[in-house]
Amino acid sequence: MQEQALQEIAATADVEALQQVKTKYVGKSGLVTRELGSLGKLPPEERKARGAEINAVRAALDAALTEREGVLKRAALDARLASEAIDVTLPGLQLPAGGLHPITRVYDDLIGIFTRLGYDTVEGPEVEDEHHNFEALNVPWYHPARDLQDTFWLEDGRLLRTHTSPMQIRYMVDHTPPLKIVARGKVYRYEATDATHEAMFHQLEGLVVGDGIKMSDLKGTVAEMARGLFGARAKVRFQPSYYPFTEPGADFAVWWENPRGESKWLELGGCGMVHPNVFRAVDDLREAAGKERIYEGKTGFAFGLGPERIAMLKYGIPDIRYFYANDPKVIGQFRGALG
Amino acid sequence: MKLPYSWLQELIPQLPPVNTLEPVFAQLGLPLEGIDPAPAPPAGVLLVSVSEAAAIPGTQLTKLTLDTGPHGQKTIASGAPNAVGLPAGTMLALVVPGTRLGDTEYGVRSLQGVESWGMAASAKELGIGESSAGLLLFPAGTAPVGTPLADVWPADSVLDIEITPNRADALSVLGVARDLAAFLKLELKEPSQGLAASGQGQIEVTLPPRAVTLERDPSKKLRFGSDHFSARTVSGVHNGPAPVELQRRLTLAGMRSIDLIVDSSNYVMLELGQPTALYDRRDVTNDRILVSFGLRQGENVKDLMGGEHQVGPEDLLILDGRERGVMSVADAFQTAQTPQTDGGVLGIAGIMGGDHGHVRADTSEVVIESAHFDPVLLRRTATRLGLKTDAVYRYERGVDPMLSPRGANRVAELLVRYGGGTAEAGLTTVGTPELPADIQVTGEQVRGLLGMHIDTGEMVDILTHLGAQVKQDGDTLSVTPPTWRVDMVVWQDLAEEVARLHGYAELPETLPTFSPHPDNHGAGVVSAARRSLKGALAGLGAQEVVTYTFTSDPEAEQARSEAPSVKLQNPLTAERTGLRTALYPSLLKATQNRPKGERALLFEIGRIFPASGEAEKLGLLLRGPLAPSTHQAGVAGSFAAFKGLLESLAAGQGAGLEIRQLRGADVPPALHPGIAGAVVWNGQEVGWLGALHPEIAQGYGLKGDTYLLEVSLPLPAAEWAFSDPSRAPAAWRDLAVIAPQSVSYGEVAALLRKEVGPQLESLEPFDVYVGEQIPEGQRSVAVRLTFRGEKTLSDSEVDPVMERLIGAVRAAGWAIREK
Repeated sequence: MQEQALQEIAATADVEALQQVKTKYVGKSGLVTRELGSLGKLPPEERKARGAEINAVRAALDAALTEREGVLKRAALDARLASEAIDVTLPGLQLPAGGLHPITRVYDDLIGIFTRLGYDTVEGPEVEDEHHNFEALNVPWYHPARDLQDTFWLEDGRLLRTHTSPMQIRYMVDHTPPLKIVARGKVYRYEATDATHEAMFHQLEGLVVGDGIKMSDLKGTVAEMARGLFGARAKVRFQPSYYPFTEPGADFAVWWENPRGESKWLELGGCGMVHPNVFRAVDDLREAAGKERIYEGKTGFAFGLGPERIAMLKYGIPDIRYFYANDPKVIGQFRGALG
Repeated sequence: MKLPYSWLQELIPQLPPVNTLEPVFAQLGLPLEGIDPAPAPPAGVLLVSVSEAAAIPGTQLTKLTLDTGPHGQKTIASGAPNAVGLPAGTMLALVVPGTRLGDTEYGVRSLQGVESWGMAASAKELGIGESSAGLLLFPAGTAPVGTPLADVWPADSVLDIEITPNRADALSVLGVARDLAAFLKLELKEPSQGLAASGQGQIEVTLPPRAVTLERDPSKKLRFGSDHFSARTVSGVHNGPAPVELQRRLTLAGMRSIDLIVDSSNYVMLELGQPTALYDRRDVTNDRILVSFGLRQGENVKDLMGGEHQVGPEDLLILDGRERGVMSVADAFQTAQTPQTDGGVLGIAGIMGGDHGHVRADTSEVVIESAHFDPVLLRRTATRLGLKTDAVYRYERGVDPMLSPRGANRVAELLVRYGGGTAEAGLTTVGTPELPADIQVTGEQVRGLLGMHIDTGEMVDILTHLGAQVKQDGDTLSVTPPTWRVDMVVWQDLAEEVARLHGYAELPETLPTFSPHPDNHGAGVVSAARRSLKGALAGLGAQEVVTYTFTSDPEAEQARSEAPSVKLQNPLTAERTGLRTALYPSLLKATQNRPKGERALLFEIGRIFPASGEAEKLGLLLRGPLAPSTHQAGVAGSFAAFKGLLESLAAGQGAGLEIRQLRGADVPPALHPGIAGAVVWNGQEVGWLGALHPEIAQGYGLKGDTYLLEVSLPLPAAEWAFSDPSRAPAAWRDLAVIAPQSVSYGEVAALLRKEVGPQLESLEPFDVYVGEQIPEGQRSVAVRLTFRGEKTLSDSEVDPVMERLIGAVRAAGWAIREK
């Protein structure tokens, strides 16, 4: 019977057939089970030997059943897996990736650096009045420095801010020093457009005001920013320049060890120590708003630069108009870690 | 400003070679835009002398008979206007036959029967200047005939210096040389002080009263018109070509040589920074000059270039001394009388000379005006009249107020030396300029501001080298700025001078160390929230764009957005006349710029300027599929797909989102009237979303559906608090509500939510059905309600709620669809 049963087990093609064989031999009323049940009819002296014999058969069958079951299950799984195979080289069902505009990416770099240095980022209106954009920044209406910033005037007498500096004024009027902020946003110049000039572009401006703020603090801060943007070997160079709202004023350049090309000095922006007339104008505005005069005797520094220019230099973008044409082939490249 | 190197070198004999100067200028804050080589004229260009000039009858040409020296007597025919009637002895630059200039080889040819031997050249033809208006002419005796022009017109270099508006002092050779000499510690050789004068001059000058207020600036400043005015006369001047070296320097500085009188004025302006005006004395009636405000509004003044200008009571004029209704126009101004100026306007002060008074070919009696005028008044007039001359460029930035006499004397010297004139002994000088006050500063203040150690003694040296007078008392300095440094006003200005001459390169690098005042806390919250929103949108597959803020009426009309109310006074182009009132037209334009039919999922965060005021918005646009098809079907860009993006965004931001159906007049004009919703974010309505109106889509050439969203930023935040989730099992009930099709799902859901209360965990529609068994004009919406409480909810708790719900549905006039 054992031979017969083992042959039948081996011959099963699937788990179901195996179950039938199992029932036939070791089920409740299977052949082996019945043999065991009939042991009681044997004389006691035979019973033990016969019992051992049948149990051996049963053990052998159980082992064979288990083994066969394993084989059959694996075969069934293999068949299923084979039938489920997919050509994974075909494209997926894609939600096309989104991305941030390169100007946002550059702002992220800059603001990231200044956030680590403890600065808050602020914004302000793009339509400004002449007072905040010029007068309070020590550029009275008759000053030739106005010629440096060709202005879009609005029919109602206001203007499109020509720089992010009016936000310095607005922020100081509302807050108490010591303070550290960067201000960001669009600015406008009345300029014909070409590869390097736009009527609309962006700026980032920093302002630090407190007691005993020094020009060396300004240089150290700009150097910190330069290293954040252009790597640990970047250096900063200051040269005297003129911004009516600073005194002393400077232009800053950054020495860039360009891994992909020629290393050079990049003229990146302007900076300086806040002019005492600016503090006076802020206090005047505070006074007019019923606030205390608190800026006299403070010192501070400010600096400003343009994300477009940084992106153009750093990534080799040839034309400032690329930023606003929004060609997916251009702006779609600024993803992942930018070098 | 352009200056020849050789001119600077004349003032600083030990000036280092030109190719080493770029970093020097940069460190002084006078960066060089370039150093341009100025080659000498080519060989083969000789100085020759005119023997005779005769018109060639029936032509515009002049036959010039020339003494060429080694080549003997030659003739040429010239069409240049200044060849007409040239006096014998005048020298000119002759290109001798066989000489090549550029692609042209000059030879001998016959013109109107005159053998023309080579060519008489203009500066431009020789490549040494811009002027092509006439022949280069030089005074008789400039050099022996036949001398190569290059011998008296040597090669040079031109420094193109960028001068910021504060550095008025550097708008002259002397000013630049002063800075260089102070920085390089080299000796400065002052240019001539001019022809010394003694006694009062013959010209009587009257200045206007000091106190004049401008409309624009009624209380702030009193204007002085002119506070220093010198006049001197020179007679017997033979006007003609200026000496070669004057011409060469003016030419290299980018000016055109006219004649000796005009060139002398320009030369002194470049040399000293003092603009002067030279008048024909015949026009200075009664030898009197009246500096006056234009009194008659709209007085028409003709300038020496032929331009006509309307001047008024705030424009400063130079008048001759003819008898007028009122003796002194200045007095008239104060007594509010209205004299007639009746012409006699010699010039618009400091800006441009008048047609009356201007120097002509036969002028021999010259009146020299060298004055200091109010920078504000002059800038205002020049701006209004659109006259930005070299003179007013200097005046509006600030001319040394003490320079007037020296300017007059220097011009007189040139006219006497080169024009054979005789200057009167006396010099008229009126007015007392108000000089800047002394500045008190301590060494410690300067060191404190700069964060750099500089000895107080070095500060004294630096300021003294720059021309200041410094009194030192220990660490305290009392500084009288040099009169030419009108930009030195506050002690911080002195700190800059000290840093500049000490070297900005020496500034150490430190960092500020302080904790911001507590009232700065949270200043960056809005910015951080915006950045988080941008990241989330990009994560949902949207590409950020940045677009122009400008728009125009036609664009707003095409997009059916509010017409721009903020308009530019000075638009650059017809497409940019105002500021946008909505973001979606910008997104439509960005989409339109893409290849036809290309999928777009774009967002922008930017400012708009509707009549209600400047505001920040988020705009989102979807065109084409959400997920494009490949070998398998993608996900079409439906309204549901678009709304789903917003739902994901809200979920990711932890915000409650509700969309309310908009109907009729509430639908924004941009949207399809049947596919429009109000966006309610954390309980506040913040904007709208929907499908672009098909007519607008057609106007933009956009085929297929486009979905738009526009919401105000910052999005309202909700109070956030942790709540421990209930672990009790949920209970479910399904309910189908039959309501008119005009009733939105949102309205049905709102009613159900309100009735259930807090035990309703979620409410999800699973079937929307219109058809058999549902009355015409109605639809069935089946929803699954999930209830969850603190403890397991029994039927006996849920069933009464359902009864209540059904009652409320019926009370609303709707029905329940029975199974």
